[in-house]
Amino acid sequence: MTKISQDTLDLAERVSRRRARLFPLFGTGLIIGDALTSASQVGWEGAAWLALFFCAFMLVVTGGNPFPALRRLTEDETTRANRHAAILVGYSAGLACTAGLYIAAQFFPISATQALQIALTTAVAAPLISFGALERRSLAHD
Amino acid sequence: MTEALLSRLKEIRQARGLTQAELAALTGVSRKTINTVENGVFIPSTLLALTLARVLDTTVEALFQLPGEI
Repeated sequence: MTKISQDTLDLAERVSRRRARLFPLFGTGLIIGDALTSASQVGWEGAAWLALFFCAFMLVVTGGNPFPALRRLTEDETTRANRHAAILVGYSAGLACTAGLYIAAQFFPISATQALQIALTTAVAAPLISFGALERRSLAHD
Repeated sequence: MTEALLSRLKEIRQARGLTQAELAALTGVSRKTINTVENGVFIPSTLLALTLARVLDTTVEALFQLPGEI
């Protein structure tokens, strides 16, 4: 067991706090971006959306740690538990959204691209927002 | 089986004169983890419970109890 320096501990906490603030902003931005584009995004807009989606997906899966040396602290067991809970939220939100789209498609036409964008955005934005909320709760001082 | 865990971590940490950050540094976890374990938000793994007990020079049973054991 190696003692961790106070500086490393402080840096890890700053990184965690920044992540807890930025992840929900990114997730909310994705949802707002989708809501503002009523038509299907094709061409470069579609490519940009796909790039953003991939970035968000990688953040959800990896935790988006920019400093590998801090990984032990920024990905400790509380963080992993929070991320697992957030991924469950994303899974549920994605399924609920897909079911909603299926029902909506019975009443008005929705293109496959639109439906996929909405479902994927929901599935990736929900865990980002949820993870941020869980992390902020964990980071709160007693 | 209950999901609750009674923690005396805060009490024992304070008795040793350690802050959350100092205990986190000695244990090799973030301060967030110490905070959530103390507040009962997070139930620690066996590995973490054993590490905390070793660092605080006590036993896991002294740190954590099931409800109704006290």
